[in-house]
Amino acid sequence: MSSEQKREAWREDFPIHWEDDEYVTRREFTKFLGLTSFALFLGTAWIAVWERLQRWHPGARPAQRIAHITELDLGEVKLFRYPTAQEPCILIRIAPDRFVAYSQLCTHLVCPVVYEGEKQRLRCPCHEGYFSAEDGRVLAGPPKRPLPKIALSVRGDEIWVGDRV
Amino acid sequence: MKRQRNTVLSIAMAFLAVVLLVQLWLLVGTLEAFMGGEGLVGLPAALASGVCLLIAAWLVWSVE
Repeated sequence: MSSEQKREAWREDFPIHWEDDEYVTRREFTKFLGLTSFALFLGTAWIAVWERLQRWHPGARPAQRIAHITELDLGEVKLFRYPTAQEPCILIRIAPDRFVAYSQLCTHLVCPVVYEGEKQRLRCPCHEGYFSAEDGRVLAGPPKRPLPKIALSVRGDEIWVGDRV
Repeated sequence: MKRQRNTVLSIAMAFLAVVLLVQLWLLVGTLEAFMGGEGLVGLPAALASGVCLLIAAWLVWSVE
């Protein structure tokens, strides 16, 4: 077989040029955009369904004793984990007869927040985000959402969280 | 005629890009609201995204 014949055989096995193989037509790209649109719709629909499911079947939160009232003086905090061991929370005594609790994870990039008692605020040291200790709303910095509040109940001299006691 | 087809294709792609941007905005907004526990915004956002999908499908079909 001559070299010319060999070359022709090679062309029959691989008839598409490298450049042609890489080439994407605008029609193909348009189809790809259509598929992207479908994927974005699926994502939004999935969140909508998940949101509804959570509304219909809210998981019961187990009751948990957090502290005794005398454990915390005014302006003091106690850290606890709720409802799972992976979710740190912070309990603060902001007034003699008022306790509040929030998730300790900043809503910006989940750094743990710390309480600044003299300014009645919670500070995220990572990106200088500030939240009100009164209600968890954002005071300053990059976070856009308030700190999730943990519902407390005082039973006797004890502070509890959760649905059932 | 070919130039006209090219123009139509370009316009369709530009519209598709706008539709995708709207869908992306809806998805990000819905996710933000969901993470922040801000009411039920998922359903209207999903419906709006569905309308965008229909428009995108029509555009893709029209350039075929």
